[in-house]
This record gives sequence, structure tokens and C-alpha cells, in this order.
Amino acid sequence: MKPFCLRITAAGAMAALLLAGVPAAGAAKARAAEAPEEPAPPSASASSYLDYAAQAAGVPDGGEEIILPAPDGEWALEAGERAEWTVPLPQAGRYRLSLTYLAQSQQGQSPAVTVLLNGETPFEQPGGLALDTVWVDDGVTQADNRGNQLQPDAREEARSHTMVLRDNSTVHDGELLLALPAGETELAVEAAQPLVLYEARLLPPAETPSYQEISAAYPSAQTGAVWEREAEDLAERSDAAIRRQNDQSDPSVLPNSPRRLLLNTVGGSSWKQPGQSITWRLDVPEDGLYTLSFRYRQDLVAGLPSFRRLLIDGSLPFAEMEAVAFPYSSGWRTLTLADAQGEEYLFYLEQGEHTLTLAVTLGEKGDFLPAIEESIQFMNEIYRDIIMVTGVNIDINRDFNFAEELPSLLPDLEALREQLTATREAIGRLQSDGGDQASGVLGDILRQIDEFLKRPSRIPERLDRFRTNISTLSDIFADMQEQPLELDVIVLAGSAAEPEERRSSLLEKLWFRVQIVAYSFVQDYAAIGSVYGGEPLQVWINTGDILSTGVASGRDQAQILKDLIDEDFSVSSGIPVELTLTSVGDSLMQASLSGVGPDAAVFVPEATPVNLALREVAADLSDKEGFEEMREWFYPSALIPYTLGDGVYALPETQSFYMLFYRTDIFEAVGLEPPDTWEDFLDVTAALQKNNLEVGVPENQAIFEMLLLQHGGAVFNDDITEITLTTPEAVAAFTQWTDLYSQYGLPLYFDFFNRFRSGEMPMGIAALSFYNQVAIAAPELRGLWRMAPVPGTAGEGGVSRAQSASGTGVVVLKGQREDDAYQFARWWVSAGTQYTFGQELELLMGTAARYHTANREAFERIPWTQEEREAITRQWEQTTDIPQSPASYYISRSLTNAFRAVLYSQRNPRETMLRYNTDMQKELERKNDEFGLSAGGA
Amino acid sequence: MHTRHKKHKAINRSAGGNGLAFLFLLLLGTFTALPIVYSVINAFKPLPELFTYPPRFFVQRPTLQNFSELFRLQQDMLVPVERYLLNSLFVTVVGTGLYVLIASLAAYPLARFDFTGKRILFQLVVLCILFRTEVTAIPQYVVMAKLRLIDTLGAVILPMMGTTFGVFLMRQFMEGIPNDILEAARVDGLNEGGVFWRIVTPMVRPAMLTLVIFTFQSLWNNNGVQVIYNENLKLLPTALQQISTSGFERAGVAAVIAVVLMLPPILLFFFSQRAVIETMAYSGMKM
Amino acid sequence: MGGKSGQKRRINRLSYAFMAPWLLAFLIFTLVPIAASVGLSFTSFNMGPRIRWVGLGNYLRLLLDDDVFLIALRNTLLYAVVTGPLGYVLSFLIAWLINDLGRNLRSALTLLFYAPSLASNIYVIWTFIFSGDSYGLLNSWLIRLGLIRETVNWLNDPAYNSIVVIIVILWMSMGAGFLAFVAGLQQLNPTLCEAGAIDGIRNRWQELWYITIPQMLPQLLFGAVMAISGAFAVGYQNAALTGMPSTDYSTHTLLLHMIDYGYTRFEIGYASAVATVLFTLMIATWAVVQRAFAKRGC
Repeated sequence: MKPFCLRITAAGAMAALLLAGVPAAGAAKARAAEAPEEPAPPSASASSYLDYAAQAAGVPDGGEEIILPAPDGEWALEAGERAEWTVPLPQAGRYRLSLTYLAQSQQGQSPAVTVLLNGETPFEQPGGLALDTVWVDDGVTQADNRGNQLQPDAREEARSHTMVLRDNSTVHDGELLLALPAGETELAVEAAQPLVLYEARLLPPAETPSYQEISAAYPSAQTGAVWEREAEDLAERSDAAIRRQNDQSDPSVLPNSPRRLLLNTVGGSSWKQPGQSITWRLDVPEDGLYTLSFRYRQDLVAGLPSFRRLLIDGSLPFAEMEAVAFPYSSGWRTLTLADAQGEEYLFYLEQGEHTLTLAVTLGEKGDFLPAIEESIQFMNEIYRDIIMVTGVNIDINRDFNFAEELPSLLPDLEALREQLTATREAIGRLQSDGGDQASGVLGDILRQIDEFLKRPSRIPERLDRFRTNISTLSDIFADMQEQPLELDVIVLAGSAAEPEERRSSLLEKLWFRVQIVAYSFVQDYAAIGSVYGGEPLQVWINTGDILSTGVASGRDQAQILKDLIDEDFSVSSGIPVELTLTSVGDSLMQASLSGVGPDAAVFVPEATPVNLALREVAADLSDKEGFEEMREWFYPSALIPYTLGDGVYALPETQSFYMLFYRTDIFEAVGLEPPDTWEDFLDVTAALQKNNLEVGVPENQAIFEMLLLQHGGAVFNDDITEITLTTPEAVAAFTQWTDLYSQYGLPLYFDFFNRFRSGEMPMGIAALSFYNQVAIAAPELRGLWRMAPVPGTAGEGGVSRAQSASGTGVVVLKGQREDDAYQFARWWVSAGTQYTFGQELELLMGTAARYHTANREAFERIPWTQEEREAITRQWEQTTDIPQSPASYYISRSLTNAFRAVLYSQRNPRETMLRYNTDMQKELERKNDEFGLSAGGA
Repeated sequence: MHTRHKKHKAINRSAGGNGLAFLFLLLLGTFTALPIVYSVINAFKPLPELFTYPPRFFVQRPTLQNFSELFRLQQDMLVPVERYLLNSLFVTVVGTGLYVLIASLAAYPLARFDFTGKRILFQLVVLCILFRTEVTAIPQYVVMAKLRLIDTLGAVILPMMGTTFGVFLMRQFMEGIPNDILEAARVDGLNEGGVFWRIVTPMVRPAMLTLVIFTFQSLWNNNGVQVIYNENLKLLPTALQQISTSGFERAGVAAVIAVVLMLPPILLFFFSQRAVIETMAYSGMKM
Repeated sequence: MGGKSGQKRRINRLSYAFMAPWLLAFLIFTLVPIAASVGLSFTSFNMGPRIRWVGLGNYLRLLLDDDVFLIALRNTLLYAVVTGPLGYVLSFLIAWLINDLGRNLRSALTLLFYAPSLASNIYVIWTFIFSGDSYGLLNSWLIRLGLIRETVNWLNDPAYNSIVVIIVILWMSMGAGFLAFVAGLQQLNPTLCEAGAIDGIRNRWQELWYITIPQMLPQLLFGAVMAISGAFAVGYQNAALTGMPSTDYSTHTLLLHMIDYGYTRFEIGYASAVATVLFTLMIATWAVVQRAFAKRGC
């Protein structure tokens, strides 16, 4: 059994160690690293900017600034077009690249460019290098007539902008340094989207003076002036996603009111990614030396600080402002910028208007994040190597002779130990507080490694804990990459002044809280009571967890929807809406029956609308105005479950289906290709199993339906009066389904996420939502996995990847407000609303909460990568759905029983299917009878 | 009391038997308490540990993060969480108070008087304990809808008023009161109401306390999700549970919520335990 | 007013005056819905606009045409017969053993045993123990001990899941009845114990049979009522552990059958019929138990 080779690139390791300040001589022998012999720029395309930077480390800094103008003053580039210059240089040098341009976001994607040297990308630039954009408020902050403030709209400004290109990876951030050789170089800038380029400049690496140098040159101008700027009173932001918030936890956060919701802070979870920045205008009252204070709160990432880069009038005042740390704080705190000894920094500002910008930056974390990422990958590899020897279900009674079976294990562990020790030291040097968690876990892991090294025979029993530690470290790693920060106010205080700090006493907070609770008795939180008057439309939003309905739905979602309704729907339609969060499944029918039901319901599980229709409670939407054109918004498969006879009883909101997920790195190592058909799939499975790895297919009716549809079978006949599961296709599908577990040994119970992450289960079929989980909760897997359509079955028309989708819909209930409710439903499933909802959700809870809308246009705007979008679309086009019938619940049940009969009681698949088919048929007939559907219509 | 117990213990008990019994109890007791301990442990687990598979019993790196996250989340809620707490408290306190009162009132004649229809009524009381409420839920809903009680706190309180368990319990206890005391009171000039209030009630206080515990537990755990839709009126269990369905991110918070909701009934039981035990002794039936 | 009938009338008026508030609530919120349920059991009603009278149709279908009902009936009786008396005896036994301990220890242990009833939804840990793959606690222990070779799917395999369910039900059976026993044991008359010792009682078991139990009859009867009510109405634990419905309905009970028809299929009439059948069973058992106790003498 051959373990696969380590994937750590030599240069990467070097870079990590360099940045962590540890001498290269300590590098382990398993990873040979060589510093460049001579200061020549790297010739081959490096894989990441860090590699590139490491290789180019020896190249001296560039000399003077080189201006590269655009012909005729401006260069209008279409997507894919390049602006090119030939740059002659007397000697090799490293330069920063600055661009002056005019660009705007397209469909929610910020403008980006790719840089090429001599026709090749010097390092990978996935998605291109992002260009700054500027967003301003479109109008003043509005309030509803109860005084609650609403988020103002945002508008992108179209004006020319100059910026130095930065590295935009999530583990490192800083200005890019390009190494140009002596002689002539072709420098090209390729636009990812249309943009206008005015000028490019090659600048030598920046040298920002330190505070000591700058302050030595300060004129002595004492002033006692104090000036404040409310943080929510911002001038510009880098993207529309940065939002203002309302905070009522502390009455000293101004402006505040126990009765109304005022927007009094900015940022929080919406301001945390590198690249995001906010700019404020400062009106300095008089010339003088000032201190800068920020009242802030960072309570979202436990124990770790958030960093910001501070610019005044667009540039760094001094080097220390490259990364200002805002430590973790569960309440509001004031931070006055000061040095490590506590001496406050002074800024010399002349009277008049200035700008202050705070931009998200990784700060000190950038020093060791790449190292942690490498370590995590390394640990996962070691773990996998071990698993491939011991198998996943470890027999702890067996003695494994690792020296023989896995000779590289012990040396690898040594190397890992060195690497982790270095990283731990780096973290320890983190100036600001925090990092204890990471330090703690690293300590744990180091202890474990020592144990492993001392007694390799005990490794199998300790493996479990090792794996959990890897997960924990990965999670901390993910947390470290986010820099949320919430700001209340910015204070400029003259050096001679003693401004009063905002603060509330415990008593004041308590009293404020009491007032809030008291007002809750007179507030009607559900109605918006806007100028429009009239009875509000009653809409229920269903709570559900992602495992049962495929959509997570709780307070967070309800809050976002309510905001959207208040800001958009009610304003444009004039219909006030009362939104209620409840468990639709239990109550909708009862409530409607008793006359206390809603007018519409959102996030209703697939099976419910037809059930409601059968009981004449749901309204038929197919006759309503604008319905036919709405059909185009969705794939046909989306409407199938809500159709009964000729009528359609709900509009699709979300749609989810299965995809194939696999680890590209493991596939590469074992020499496999992602499977196209089920035959391929089984071959790949066999190959993986030989290496003691596993494959996961969830034990789920949807898989059976997938196979059934691919074989060309169906559950019902055309008018839904017969169950057609005794056809040869159905039996073949059923047999294939049960064989997966009984013949091919696929596990029935497994936690795909953790196993995929550790590599024990490098391939599996999972719902689209799995993407959410991996993308965000396993960032160390970035670039090592991919999503593909599910395996298909070859047939007459080619390879069919049919499968049944699942989703939720919005139902309109019969009654007086039917038409208004229909209008609401229409608004809700439209592209703009669906997209905004999904975006807000992601902002609040991260990519893990990605929303799988059924609206095709909205889907296009979600920031999937091109590759992912293709894979999803390819699958989506072939996806269909099984129609709903009054006996559908029974069919699910029977299929489960049939499955278990074959697996546990070892019954024959064919006979089992026949038997259950009869049962299902009987039930269908009974139900059809009950509802008078035998004739195939309602 | 103490001396009597000591004497009692000495008789008919072997040391070996005692030891065995104790061991047996300890084992069984730990086993019984396991799930609650597990719930509490879960609340201290950081997210990755909550999701590891196979699920582990103990926590590797205990953290208070889930608690602080819950605290933070409730700050952000549109309706202040104290409001939900007040709603729940209102329902439980008013509901419990009312029910104990009217059940006691109803139990008194059933225990002491001989009136027309008593036999039938009493049989009815016992029988209705046996009828399962799952199916009566739907007709009950319709009744409440007709009375316009849906979406009010009354929809949670009033059905409790109609249950028979409390009447049954109070009746048993009231039966054991010696008649002479009551007669003496009547002779002294008290009307029946006074007899009830001044004499009977104090004597059955332990029973009332028991009923308080059972009713409180029942009302507290009733999340009213089927009958209350208005945001302002929601009860604490519902509101908290709705936070936990927002997705994977909230799994840690959900674990804390489970523990928080579990506490009041346990605390109440713990503190009134002695009164409870005294009461139960009199609950044997005399027909 | 004077005379017997006047007296009688006065007592009647008084009684009903006391009972009035509760009676009102009882009528509206308990009696009417129960009556409605029984009434609905003679109809076919599926939450739609029409209610159809079918007379005994539901009952006939139940007894003659519903295999699942028979399975549920069998299971319910099985669980009731096994766990009812067993849980009952277990409650009593534990209460009896606890009684010998010091007061504080007794309080602590009482809380410990009563805890499952206090905190609902606690049986999640059972899924962890009985999980069907190699990580389930039971499976991994048995494999380690070498008693089984392959994992057993305790919760989903119809051959085993009934046993699991019975164990869990027993675990949760220490409820109100248990508390009654604990308290009752404390009220015992110790002089009887001493007298018994003199009369020839040698060990705790004899004491139990001859002295303790006869004094505890009232509490034992109360416990019996609660046990019946609880035993016949098992269902939630089953659903949580083995799924709703369980494989081939192997742990299905009448309660679950009722809920299935009521809330999944929305056949309210039929569900009411099942409820009435369950109710009848319980009444029958109650009548038998009542008579048995009457004979034993209170």
C-alpha cells in the first residue's frame, strides 16, 4: 500500500516560516527548501502569491516610479480584453502596481483584473484581483411612521479611482509586489468585466515612516477641541453589504430610544472580509494634534481581535497604522489609538475637511494563517495515511506495525511537530490578546504527536481525538479569517482636551431595558403600521430545520424577510404585512379550518400545498394574472410538486437536489477520475475501498427516485391513479439501490461532513446544501474538492442524470385577501427579492447559510464560481420531480419499509417491491376515492 | 421521627443486603440521570464537538461560548426576551394559581358531601384522566376558535382549567380530614365557604403544593405553538426553540436552550420536594 | 327550609356552587371535545369542507380491514402487560430500597429517579447508545467483548427494536406512582414492624410481604391507575427512537396509530375511532384492577 506523497510545496513552507520569523534552518528534512541562489525573478508560474513572493524574495526593490499611460488617455476594456505595455528595465526589481480606473460592479460581482507578465500569470489569481468600488447612500435614512429607521438604499458611484493592487487571499493580505526582470517585459492587465483604464504605474515598494519619525516632525500645536462623528454617519463604503445596525443593549450608544429602532451603529457581521472598508468625513475644527478614539464592540469572534488598516486622506499616516487591533469585547468599549506602552498616538490635522478610512485587514494573523492552513492540510494527510492502513472502523485489538506499513509516518510526525511548534510560537507573539484558543489546541496536538512518536502502537485508539483536534483547529482557523467590528462613534480629541467617554452604568442599562420591555406591551411588532393603513396581510413563515425541509428557517430568516417586506414590498404595493413565525405543518390546516389561518404561508414543505388544495383551502394560482410569464422564472421541475390536475397551488421558492462531491487531491493521488455513470461510480468505489477509504450515499428515498428516473421509470402513471413500481425499470432501480449497501458495502450511517473533511470518505452524494457546510466550515479544504452532477445512467437519449428535486413553496390560501396574497407571493419569488434575501442571509450567517432559490435569475447572481455554476446548472437542467398525491406519505413509508426488509431481513428485492406496490396501490385508490380524484382531477 | 427511623432500620436488615441494595440503587440512579447529565454537558461543547460523529459523551474543550452567544442573540431580538419570559410566567403563575383554586373548590364537595350526581361525576373525573388528549386537541381547537380564544394566552390557560387530575388529587386528600373538626367549625358559626377556606385549605396545603408542581411543569413545557401566533404573546419555550432552527450555526445555542428550559421544573421540584412526598402518602384511594 | 329534602337541596346547591367554576371549564374544554371526538369516530372527516356520517364504518374497518391496527393493538398490549406491572413493581422496589437510606440521600435519589419525568425529550441519549452502526455504544461494547461480530441495528431492525423500546419505557416509568410509594413508605407504622419481628419475621422480604404491602394498599392502587394510563398510552418514546412509523410498524402502538391518522393523514374520524378503542381498553383494565383491589381489602 503506497501512501501518497506530501503535497506541501517547498516554497510554501519557506514562505510560511519566513513570515513567521523563524530561521529557515529549522525546516524539517522531509521538505527540502532552497532559497533562490541569485536575485532572479521566478520564471515558472507559482501556485500562490505567497510562493511567488518567497521565490522573488531576493530580488531587490525597484527604483523609480514608472508611469504607464493609456493611449489617448483612456483604455476601454471589455471582459477578457487586455491592456498591454512593454516595460524596459535596466535591472530586475520588485514593484507595486497601481491602477487608475473607472469600473462598476456587474450583477453583484465586483470588478477584477488579472495581471500577466510576458503573457503568463506569475501566480494564481482565482477570480482575478478585486478592484475597489465605492458605494454611497442613495437618499436619506427613512423611517416608518412608528419611528423605526430603515436601511437606506445604496448606490454605486461611478468615478475614477486609483488603487494599488493587493493580494486578496483569505490567509494573507498586503500589497502585491511584482518582480520584473532586467530587460523588456510585457506587462498586461486583463479585465474580468468591462472597465476603463486611465493609467497604470509601477511603484517601488512602499516605505512608510514609523510613528517616531513622523511625530518628531510634528509642529507643536496643542488644541483642546473635541469633535465627534457618529459611525453610522458614514460617507462611503466599499460595498453595499456593509450595513448599519440597531443596538439597544446600551443606552449610551447614540442615538437610542427604548421605543423605536434607530440605526446607531455600523458594521458587525457585515464588515469582516479583507477588502471591505468604510470612509468617514472629518471636519477638523482647528489645526492641532489630536488623538483618535473609537467606541466599538467585537463580540462575534470569541477571544480574537479584529484588525483594521487606518488611512487619513487616503494614505497611511505612519507604519503602525497598517494594522490596528480591536480586541474582543463583549460590551461597548472605547479604544484610543496608542502604542504598545500605552502612549497615545497623536495625529497632526489641519483645520478643514479630511477623510478617515478603516479597511479590514488580517493584521498580525496574516503572519501565521498560511502556516496554520498548511499544518491542517498536513495533519489531514497524515490522518488519511493512517486510515488507509488501519481502515475506518479501527480494530483496536489488532497491532499495526507502522514502521513497516507506513514508513513515512514517524518522519512526517516529526516534521509536523516542528511546524506546529513554530506556528505556536508565532501565535504566542501576537501582541493583542487572543490566540489562546489556537495556542491551546496546538498544545494539545503537540502533546498527542509526542505520544504518537513515543508509542506508535497506541495510535489507533488515540486517532479519534486527533481527528477532533483537527476539526477544532480548522474551526478556529476559519474564525481567524473573519474580522467583524461594530462602531458607534469616532472621537477626535485635541491633545489638550479631556473628553468624556461615553458610558452607561449598570443602573442606566437596566432602566433602559425595563423601558424596552414596558414598550413591548404597546408595540405591535408584527404590523408595520405605515402611512398606508388598512388591515395587514397575514403571512406565516414556517420554522423548519434544514434537515427536514432542506431550508433552515428560524428567527434569523424571519427577521430578514420582515425587513425586506417593510423596505420593499409594503412600500411599493401599499399593502402592510404581518409576518408570523410558526410551525406551519401542525397548525396551517387547523387554523384555516377554524377561520384563523393566514392569507399566505412561506417555506411550506413540498407535500403540503397539494394536501391543502385537496381540502379546498389553498388557492389555485394558475388562473391569476401574470402566472404564465412566471413559469419562465423557474425550471419546469420546480412546479411539479405543487400541481394537482390543472391547477397550481404554490409558487416555488427553493429547490435543492443532490450533487456529487469529491476530493480532488485524493483522487489525484489514487489516480482516479470523477465518475460519469453509475458503473464508473462503482469502479471508483471499489478502488477507494481497496485503499481503506469509504464512499457515502445517503440512505434516502431521493436516491431511489434518482435511479428510478434515470432508468426511465416513474412512480405514478400519467393521471396518478396507479403506482407503477413493478415495472422492470422500477425493480432494477430498487435492486440497484439496495445493492449499494448490501453488495457494495456502503455505510448506512455516516457523518459525511467530518469524513469528507478528514478524507476518510473522499466521495459522496449529498444535497446542494452540503456545499454551504464545506465551503465555510472547512476552509482548509479550499481548492481540494469539487462538486459535480450525480452519476448518470446511459440510455437511449444519452446519459440521464435525472433526479427528483425537493423544495419549499409559498402558498396562497383562499379567502378575501387572495389577490393581495398573490401579489405578495409573486413579489417574494421574483428574482430581485430572492437574490436580496439570499444575500442578506449569507451576510448574517455566512456562506453556510447559502440560500438555494428556485428562481433561475436570482441563482445566476449568487456568487458561485463559474465552474460551480456550470456543474449545478448541468444537473439542474436534468432534474425533475415526482408529482404529489394524497398517498405520497404512504409511498415514502412503504419504500422505507421495503428498503429495510431487504437489508435487515434479507428479503428478495423484486418480491419485496411487488408486495409493497400492492399496498401502495391500495392506499392510493383509497385516498383518491376519499377526495374524488379517481377521474384524475380535483 | 428520627429515633423511630433508626429503630426501624435496624430490624430485618442485613448489612450485606443493605450494601447490595445501595449498589443497585446507585447504578440504576446514575443510569437514570445520564441523559440529563448529557444534556448539560452538551451545552458546554463548542460547535465542532456537537457535530462529531460518533457523538461523544464528554466534552473535550468546555466553553461558555454557547451561553454568551445566546445572550447576544437575545439582545438582537425584535421582541425583548424578557417579554417572552413574562408571557410564560403569566401563563404558568396565573394558570397554576387559578387551577389549584378551582380544583380544590370542586374537590371539596366531592370529598365531603353527598349530593345528587356525585357518583357519576366522580366516575367521570377518573375516566377523563384516561382519555388521551391528542385526539381531543382538534375539537378543542375548534371550540376555542369559536370562542375567539385562539391567539390569546387564554388558549393555553383555559384548557388546563378543565382537566381532572387536580380535582382527583385534592379530593383524595380532603377525604382524610376528620369530620369532627369541620363540624366544630360549623357549630362555631362558619359558613361552608369559611370552613373551606379557614380549616380545610391549611390542612391540605401539601397536596396543593404537589398540584402546583405538576401544573407548573405542565404549563411551562407547553409551548402553545399550535394556538398562539402573535409574536408578542409567544411563550418562552417556543421563542427559544425557534432560534435553534435557524441552521447549523445555532446548534450550540440550542443545547443551552434545552438546559435552560429544563431548569425551572427541576428547581421547583427540588425545593418543594419534602412537601410533595408528604402529600403523596395520602393519595391512596378510598372508595 | 327544613326537613330532609330541604337539607338535600341545600347540600346540592352548595356542592354545585363550589364546583361551578371548574365544572364550566371541564364542560367546555374537556367534556365537549371528548364527546366530539367520540362523535367524530362515527364520521369520515379529513379537515376538508365536508363531514360524512358513516356509522360503525370506521370501527368495522378498524377491526376487519386494518392490519396495522392489529399490529398496534398487539404491541400496545404487549408493552402494557410487560411494562405496566414491571414498571410498577420496579417503582415500588426502588422506592422501598430508597426508604432505608438517610433522609438526604433519599431526597437526592428520589430526584434522580424522578428526573426523566421532569425533563422531557431526554431520550436522545438512547439513540446514541443504541445507534445501529459501529459507533453506537452498545454495539461497540459488544464487539469489544467479542459477543457479536457485526453491528446490530437495534433501532431499525424489527427483530430487536421492540426490546429496546421496552427498556426505555421502563426507564421512564418512575413517575407519579413512584413518588406515591416513596411517601407512603415513610408513613408506615414502625410498631407493626417491631411486632412482626417478634412474631417471627426474619428478613426484609418477609417484612415487605406481610407488613409493608398491606399498609400500602391505597398508594398501590393510585400507582396502578397512573401505571395503566401511562402503559397503554406509550408512543412518543417509540417514535423518537425507532421512527414514526417504525420499520414495518414493529413498535407501532395504538397511540401512534391514532396520531398517524390524525396528524399525518388527517383522517380525523378514523383517528377518533382508534382513540375510543384505546379508551375502552383502559376502562376495562381499570375496572378489573379496581375489583381486584376491592377484594384484597383496603
